[in-house]
Amino acid sequence: MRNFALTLLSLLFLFSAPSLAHKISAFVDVEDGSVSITSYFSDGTPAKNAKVTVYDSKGNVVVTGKTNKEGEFDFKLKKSGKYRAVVLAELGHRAVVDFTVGTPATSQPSESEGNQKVTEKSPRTGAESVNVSVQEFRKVLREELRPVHRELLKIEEAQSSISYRDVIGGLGWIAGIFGAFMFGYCYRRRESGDAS
Amino acid sequence: MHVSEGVLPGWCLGVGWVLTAGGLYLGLRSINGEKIPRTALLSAAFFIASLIHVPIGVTSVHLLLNGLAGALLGWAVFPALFVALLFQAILFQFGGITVLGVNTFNMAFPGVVAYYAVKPLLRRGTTGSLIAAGVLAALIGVFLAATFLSLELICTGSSFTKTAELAFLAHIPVAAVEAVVNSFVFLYLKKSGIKLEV
Repeated sequence: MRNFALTLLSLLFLFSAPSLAHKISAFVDVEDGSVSITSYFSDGTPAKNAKVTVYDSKGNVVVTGKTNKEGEFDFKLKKSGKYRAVVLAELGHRAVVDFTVGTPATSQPSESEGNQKVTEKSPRTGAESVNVSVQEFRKVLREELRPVHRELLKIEEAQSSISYRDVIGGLGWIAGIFGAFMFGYCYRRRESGDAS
Repeated sequence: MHVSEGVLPGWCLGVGWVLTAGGLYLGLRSINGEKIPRTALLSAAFFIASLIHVPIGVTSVHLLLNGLAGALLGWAVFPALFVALLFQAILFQFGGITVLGVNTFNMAFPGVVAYYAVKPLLRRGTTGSLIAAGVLAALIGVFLAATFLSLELICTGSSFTKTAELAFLAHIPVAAVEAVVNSFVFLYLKKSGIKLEV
């Protein structure tokens, strides 16, 4: 019986592999105005049916929706700019993620107008093909960078999971705090023992 | 069952901190020298337990062990869980610093209730009563925590019955696993001649 209890306990502790956890994380993939939000519990199970609210930079609600079975929620945003998505899963789990639609230069309206003027001017002065090739170039670049993009998302996901280092560090902290407590207690008891 | 940062309104967080501060005061007063290592051990166990997790339907749940910690610690469960939750918040981003008060109360108070509930059973000390104590501690710890969570989430506008239903359903397997774990721990401690009641 005793051995069984010990085995059970040690098994439980073995199962606590650091990837398992209990919070949700949200990841955003933006491509040309179509946005895909994926939400996971930090062990990798998708957060199904979680409420997603997207706010623009002024705090207005732009899009609301729910994640599907894979924890994904896709939508389109026409206006470029900075957005914030809040994912609210059941039982009080919440994740916030900021993202930008469009190139950083066009994220501010005033600047984008300036850019527009430049591009409008350039065809008049130069060859018209420049404007077209910029569009094409962007497309090609996006295709080329897709693997890198995926890789970055993967790294972001991996970073949000838990490492053994943190677990052991936390246990060390707990031991340290209560150790200090014990030290204080023993010190005080010895002091009072000397006095009496 | 950690409430995330930014879910609850400010007054709710404040109430949580006040209740937790009261619990911490009573808990720290009740800790004497022999109880410190026990508190530290159960604090560490609770810290780790949140990493053992079971995916259930739309959500995922983890072992709580707050019933066990409560039954073995009494009011000292407050400091034990406070420290564990603090480091979970800092290192794993479970919950958060501002919601620490609410989360500590959610977990620790059911532990205290479990302590008073199982005290007579632990004192009797027969195998049957120890198993009963383990089951009772698990049920009280898990389901009372789920009730508190559902009550708090009313603040966010979700209906109590819906959240409670989900929380209860999700935590049935947790309670079952914990009942087994608790019973074995109690039996093991009894066999090793360690005093169960504090």
